[in-house]
Amino acid sequence: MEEHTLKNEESSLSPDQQLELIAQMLKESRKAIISMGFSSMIWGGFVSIGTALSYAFESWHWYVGIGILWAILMISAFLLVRSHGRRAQHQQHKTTLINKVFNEMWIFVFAAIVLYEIAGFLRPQSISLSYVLSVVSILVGTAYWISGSMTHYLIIRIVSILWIIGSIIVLLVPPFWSPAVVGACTLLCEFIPGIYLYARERKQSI
Amino acid sequence: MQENENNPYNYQNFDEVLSSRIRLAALALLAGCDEAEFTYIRDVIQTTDGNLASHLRKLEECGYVEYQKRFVDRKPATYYRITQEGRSALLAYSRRLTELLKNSESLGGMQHENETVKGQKP
Repeated sequence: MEEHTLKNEESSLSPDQQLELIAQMLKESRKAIISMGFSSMIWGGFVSIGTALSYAFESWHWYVGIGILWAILMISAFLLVRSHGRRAQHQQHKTTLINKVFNEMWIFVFAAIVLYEIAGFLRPQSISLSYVLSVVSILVGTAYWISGSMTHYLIIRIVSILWIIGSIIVLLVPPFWSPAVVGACTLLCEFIPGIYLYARERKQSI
Repeated sequence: MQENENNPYNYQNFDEVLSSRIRLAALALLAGCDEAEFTYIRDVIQTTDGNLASHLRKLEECGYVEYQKRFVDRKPATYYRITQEGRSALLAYSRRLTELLKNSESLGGMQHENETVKGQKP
């Protein structure tokens, strides 16, 4: 495609050159860079650590500690991912519709997960932990599937399928082991692919 | 009056603001994204700061773009966004260009046919 250098403002463009210029500019500005590596790595790592520590706290019968631990982990992970996302967005010098949809989808999923977990914590008799974790896994799996179709990464689509399988396993195992299934899912389907994606994204940005 | 509006060659049908290639490029660039920083527009369009600033001011005066100043990493940055009016103007301008091209092509085709017929006459 012919490059239109705009230094010479006075020289006029023909109608087809003007249409070509419009198409070229639209194509350029629609390019969106979606990075998932850092967020997957942080969430995967934090949730895996949280799950392991929760089992340890439970064996010490320190149940208040579990609540405090999850509050600290969720807030820290959210702030870390948010600040990294903002920095990445500023480096792009623009915001596209795809970036906006992607961010809002994940914020919605995060809010839904937090609300479900609070509901499960407040009414354990009516909403079992296995059920809450299954819903959480379905939400995460669905968000990963949509992200996979936006980024065209096969690994993200595979991760989403594994999350859906995890959401079924959570309901089949004894309630004591259901957090362990989700912990394993976050380690295998978020943390490890997150490291791979983060390394790949850093390589591409260089 | 109606005739003037339908005539694709009538210069009055074309938005004068978008006759400048820098303004046209900047508006098209902003139409493809939600918002863009001044430096990004400058780098893509390959123009100078002063030149781009004056063209963006013109677009802003016409209500085609709006801007917001923010601090990014403690540095001031200006973000531009296309307005609904700007989007409609770009769409109308593109339609006019397409119509003009279509008519030129059909006229060119007719001329070619006439020349061929003339050439075949004994």
